[in-house]
Amino acid sequence: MTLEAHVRVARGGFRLDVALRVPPGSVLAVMGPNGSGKSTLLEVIAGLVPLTAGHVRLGGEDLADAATGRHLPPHERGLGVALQDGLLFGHLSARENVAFGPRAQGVAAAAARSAADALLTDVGLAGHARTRADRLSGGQAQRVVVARAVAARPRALLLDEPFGALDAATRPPVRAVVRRAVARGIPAVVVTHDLRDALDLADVLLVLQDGAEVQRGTPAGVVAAPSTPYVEQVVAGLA
Amino acid sequence: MLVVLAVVGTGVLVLPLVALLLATPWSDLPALVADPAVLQALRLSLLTAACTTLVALVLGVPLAWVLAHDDLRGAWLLRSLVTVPLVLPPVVGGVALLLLLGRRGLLGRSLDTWFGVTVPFTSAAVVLAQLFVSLPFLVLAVEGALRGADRRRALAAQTLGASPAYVLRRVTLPSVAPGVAAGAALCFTRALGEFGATVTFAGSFPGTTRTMPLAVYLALDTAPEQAVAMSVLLLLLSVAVLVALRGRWLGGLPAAHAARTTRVRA
Repeated sequence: MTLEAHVRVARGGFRLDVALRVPPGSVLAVMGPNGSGKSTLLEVIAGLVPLTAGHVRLGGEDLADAATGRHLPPHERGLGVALQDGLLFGHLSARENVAFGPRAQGVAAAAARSAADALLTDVGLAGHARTRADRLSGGQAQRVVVARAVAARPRALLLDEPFGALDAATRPPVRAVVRRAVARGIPAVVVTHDLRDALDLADVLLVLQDGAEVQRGTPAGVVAAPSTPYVEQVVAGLA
Repeated sequence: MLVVLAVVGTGVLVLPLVALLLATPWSDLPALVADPAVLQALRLSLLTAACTTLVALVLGVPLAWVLAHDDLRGAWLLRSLVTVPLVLPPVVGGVALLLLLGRRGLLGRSLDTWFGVTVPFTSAAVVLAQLFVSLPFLVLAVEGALRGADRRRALAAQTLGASPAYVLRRVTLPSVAPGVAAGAALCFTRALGEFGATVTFAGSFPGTTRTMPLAVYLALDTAPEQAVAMSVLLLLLSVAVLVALRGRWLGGLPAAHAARTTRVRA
């Protein structure tokens, strides 16, 4: 299942114009400073922001197409999404958060719960299954956010800064969870500020500037030969 | 210097209550409270305040929902109008209610001539007076909760495959419930303590409009011990609501919500 999109958005003074193609089982990392359009790109693919022009296709199916006016609502796109700031459901437990997607899609409670517990164990939160989400620390909450996005066996994974609040010790198991989900043969787009995430996880790195692509290549290739001083700054974490 | 002022400020709030508790004839309290006149006022107060809270929920939650949507034009005007009773002296509210619903009032005249209904000086008038004063508390508390349960969270739920109806049922409504409960509790205590609007618009008739605060005021002249007993009763009721509000219920209030969000981010 390939994710293929040409995303064009014009909102006020902001313009985004990006084309991407993510084959099944591979990860596209997107880097760029705040305001470069990374989050908007994800929100368009997720169906939260309408296209001005272009299209979003997943496995040959049109999720959105500005030409035909097609816009599949977010909940019918079959995606696993972690938006910026996580947005856990504070009144639900960590387990209920992770089980939310499967439950919403009709998976039986017991099955959803045991799958959620397994994922929570994977991200190192086995002891927090019953903790209310609004009582979790920032790092714990972020791990639940990733587990929640992965839990619904999505057809594609969209993650916005999924590791930002994690320290060096907790990152690897969470990255591993993402890697396993992708290995089931789905495409993933990961927005990040941290080059290490791109190097560790991504097949392709896309660097954005003011809503447009400035460089694309393997993460190691981009680091080795940044095309502009701006790209050099972005991958160094300075922009 | 700041600490001294803070201590004085605390004293202003706490010392009167200390005086009240010291003056309370604790051993005679059951007998004083068991007085038929006191029980009558207590029953009326609880009943009217409960009615007020119920009506406030029915009218206030939709109003809060409208206010919480920023894209609504003129929302600022609506919010200003809702806030006015908060800063208005309750007596003025009572006078305004009389001018609207009194026998010669804007609406009251028609109600009287067409339906033979007179609102002032009835238990319904007590509820209306309490509603005027306490509805804003509920509206603002619920609005804060609705804003806290921001729409991005509902969107996040949708991206996980939840239909809008499922999101409303499992995310939006449950996350707002504590705020609604907190608003209702605030509304109830405010209604319980209402004096100015009630005495102006509903008068002070035993059994129909003489609520606890009115009874306390009257008893202060004739039976001071009873006034103290009733005051302590009201104090205990209010504190009970406050205790019930603590913890999860208070989580719906805007300030508490903000504090919690900060904690999660920290």
